[in-house]
Amino acid sequence: MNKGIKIFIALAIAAFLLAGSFTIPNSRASSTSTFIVGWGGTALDNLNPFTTYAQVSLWILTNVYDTLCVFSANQTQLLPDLAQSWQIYPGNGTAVVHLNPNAKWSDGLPVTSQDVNYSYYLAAQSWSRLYPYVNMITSISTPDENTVIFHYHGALFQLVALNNVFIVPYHIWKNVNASTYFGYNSTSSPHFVGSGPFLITNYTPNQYVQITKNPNYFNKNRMPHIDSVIFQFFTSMTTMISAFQAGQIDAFGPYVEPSQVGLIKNDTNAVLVISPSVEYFYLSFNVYPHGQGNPTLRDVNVRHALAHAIDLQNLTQLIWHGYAVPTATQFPPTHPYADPSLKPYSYNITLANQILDSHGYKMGPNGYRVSPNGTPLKYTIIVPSSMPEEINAANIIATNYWSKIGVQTTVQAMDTGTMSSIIWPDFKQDIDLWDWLVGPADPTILSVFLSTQTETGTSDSGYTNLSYDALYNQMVNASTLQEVKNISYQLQVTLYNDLPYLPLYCPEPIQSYSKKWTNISTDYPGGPFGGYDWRTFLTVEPLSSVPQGQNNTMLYIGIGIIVVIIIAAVAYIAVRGKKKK
Amino acid sequence: MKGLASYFTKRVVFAVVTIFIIISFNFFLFRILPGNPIELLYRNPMLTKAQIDALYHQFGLDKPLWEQFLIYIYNSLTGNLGISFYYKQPVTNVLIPALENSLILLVPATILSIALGIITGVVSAWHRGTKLDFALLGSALAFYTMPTFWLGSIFIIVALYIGGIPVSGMYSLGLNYTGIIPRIMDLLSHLMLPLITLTLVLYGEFTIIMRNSLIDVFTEDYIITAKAKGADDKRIIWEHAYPNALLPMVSIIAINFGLVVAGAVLTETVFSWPGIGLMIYDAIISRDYPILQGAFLIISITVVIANLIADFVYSYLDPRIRYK
Repeated sequence: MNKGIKIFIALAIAAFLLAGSFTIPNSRASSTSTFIVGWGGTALDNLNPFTTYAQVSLWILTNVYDTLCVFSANQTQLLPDLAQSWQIYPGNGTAVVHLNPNAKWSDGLPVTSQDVNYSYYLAAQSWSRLYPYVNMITSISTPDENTVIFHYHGALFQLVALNNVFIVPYHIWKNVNASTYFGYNSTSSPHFVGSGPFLITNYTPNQYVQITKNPNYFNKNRMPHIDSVIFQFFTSMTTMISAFQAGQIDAFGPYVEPSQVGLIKNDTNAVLVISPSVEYFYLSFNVYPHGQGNPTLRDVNVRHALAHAIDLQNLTQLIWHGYAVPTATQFPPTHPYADPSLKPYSYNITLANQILDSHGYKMGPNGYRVSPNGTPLKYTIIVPSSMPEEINAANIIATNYWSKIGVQTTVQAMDTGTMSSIIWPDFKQDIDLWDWLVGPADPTILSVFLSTQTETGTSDSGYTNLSYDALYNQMVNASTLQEVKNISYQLQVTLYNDLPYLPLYCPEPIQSYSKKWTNISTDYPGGPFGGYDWRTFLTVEPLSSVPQGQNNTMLYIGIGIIVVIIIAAVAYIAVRGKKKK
Repeated sequence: MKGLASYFTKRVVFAVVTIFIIISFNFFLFRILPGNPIELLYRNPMLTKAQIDALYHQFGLDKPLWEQFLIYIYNSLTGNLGISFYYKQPVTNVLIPALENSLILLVPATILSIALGIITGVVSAWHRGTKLDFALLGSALAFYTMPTFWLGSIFIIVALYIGGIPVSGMYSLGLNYTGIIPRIMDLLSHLMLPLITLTLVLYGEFTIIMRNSLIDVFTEDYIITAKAKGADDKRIIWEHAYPNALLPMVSIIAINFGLVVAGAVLTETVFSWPGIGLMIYDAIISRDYPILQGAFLIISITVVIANLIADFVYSYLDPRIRYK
């Protein structure tokens, strides 16, 4: 072997092992007041409060900007944020908001009504994500620096308008193109200006965002107990849990699969957190009048039979191992707008068979039913391949339940892009199993079933019901919150009877944090690390004594000795070989 | 000399044409994928039709396909890879840091795997039919066929058992480094597991190619002649057989350059290494065409350039090629 190759091999082996020997002790113990939370949900897209759609972005922004109000944990009471007080006059659709006079931006300027006005102006632009939350506002006036008067129509204003719009500094945002602005510029001076308890201080694409305590935060009662928070992004739940077990992160969200709960339970340093749900899974039946799916699904009797043929309680237990609750509506049971009178369809195979028999769906010679006009009850359930537990659920529904009533079902897992292309715009699917995230405080998820949503790529059932549309509009324009609630109940009953969707269950987010930390509430929908709770980083604090990082000195010395021996051996062989020549 | 220049010119022209074809192909490749990015990125019941139309307009998806194609070609030729649908930033701003991160992992992993592959391939070939050959070839095949995700997970479990070894990311977050050395050491400690995993996954192929190539060469007359002349084993292997057995390795290495980038997706996913492979995976899920086009363009150019270099190396190693 020539000398060059020997040296190359020696260097390669040395580099390979040196990489290992450089494993340094976990020195995070030196920065005890930095809380690192792992995020395994949808990746951060941008940090612009008007254009982001990612939950983690919204969560970060919640900590660096203020809204006028925030919701209490039970989602029934608005609490002050930038607004010190407010009066709402439903009779004439007016809300008078008084800003906290102590509120100021991190660069020292006061937060004024001009900032509020400009933020709502940006929110109302067609490119803004927030447009649906403010489109009921007809005008805004600012009689003085600390007062903002909103004129609006409809009681939904109280549910969505005061708590969703982040107030940004006019003196900064007037200089940027808000529709394309990323939201954070590390080269500008100052880097970031906000009014919240934290400020964005570091952003590395696809890796992490760091927010640091705002020393000038005006609300001393909500001053954080920690110096900074780091949001680290993961694409693999398993890796995220491993990083947690290795002590690299202090907590994780927004959820992990039930099969991974054992890993958390076995970790003596972990606190397992189960919180109220903000999500529900459903079966969507293609009922679109012009759709290309199996037409028998447009018969509500077939849908009723299919609903009665699923043992939802058992299915929920099988799939979610006790970490989900069956639902009969479009809301998790703890949601303030969930109609408590609606219960899941009873599991009754006899009744399901009777319904099909009585409506002419006769059993064929092969054990499967056909409609009166000869169409077989043969369906395909499409389900996202990224949701293994839901593929399992669809298979159980097909083989354990629907086969008992003479319905032949196959399951196809595919990526969501392919699913979308099957559903929209031609509605070629029979049934899809998918999920929706539900805003914890308002009933706007019911808009999924508006007839107009078939063309927006939102309605996957193709449900078209003009009475429903009219009722929804009544809810939007209702004058009181009680009226909103009553109408939302009526809408849920309509959906329950018409069954374009068969709601299945609401998984409760499974999260965890290290026992090194305390003062973390778990009662907010979505959990403390689900991207919804605005209180998590205001209250969390380290326990008084934090264990030191693991000391692996012996390991490093051992690996170092091995490296030296191997380098010496290769060098010896190289020199020996040369001498021989 | 004239033959060499002519050969080089032909190869360069061929590479440029290939890159142009790839640029065109890239545009259509991802639009064949089912699903459209607006529906995937903005699945939100609160969005109105007007807002959705505004998003189509913002991304230029409301224009006819041929117009989108012309804009894309113009932008690509002027170095503008567009704005990411998801990140709302220029593609280069998103891709370049990811590519740098990938190279930190891929370059040492490729070099190490080639070195390991050559060594084990040579030893295996020289001792063919023995237990050592069986062991080396068996190990190479086992690692070659081993699922990356599984192997990475095994290393993570071992690392958790030992303790103190980072299992994800590139750096320890929340630390204030006192200098460049601690930062590099921290990076190396995070690099260890993905580097070992990727090296082991890659080296098997090189071992097999090297072994088989050498076994062929060992049957050549000049090797028998060398043996008959009494040359020692080392000299036969490294001076007579090894250089001639390298030719297929050069081809494999060149082809692998591109495949390695794509193949690192799983390694990057397992260890949350923020590289280009992971970004491609995310972009496919969200149908982020500009990112996909940019990433595949970079990979394609890398492969073309690697092949170009391979052609040159080939012609250097085997002068007959340039005169064909």
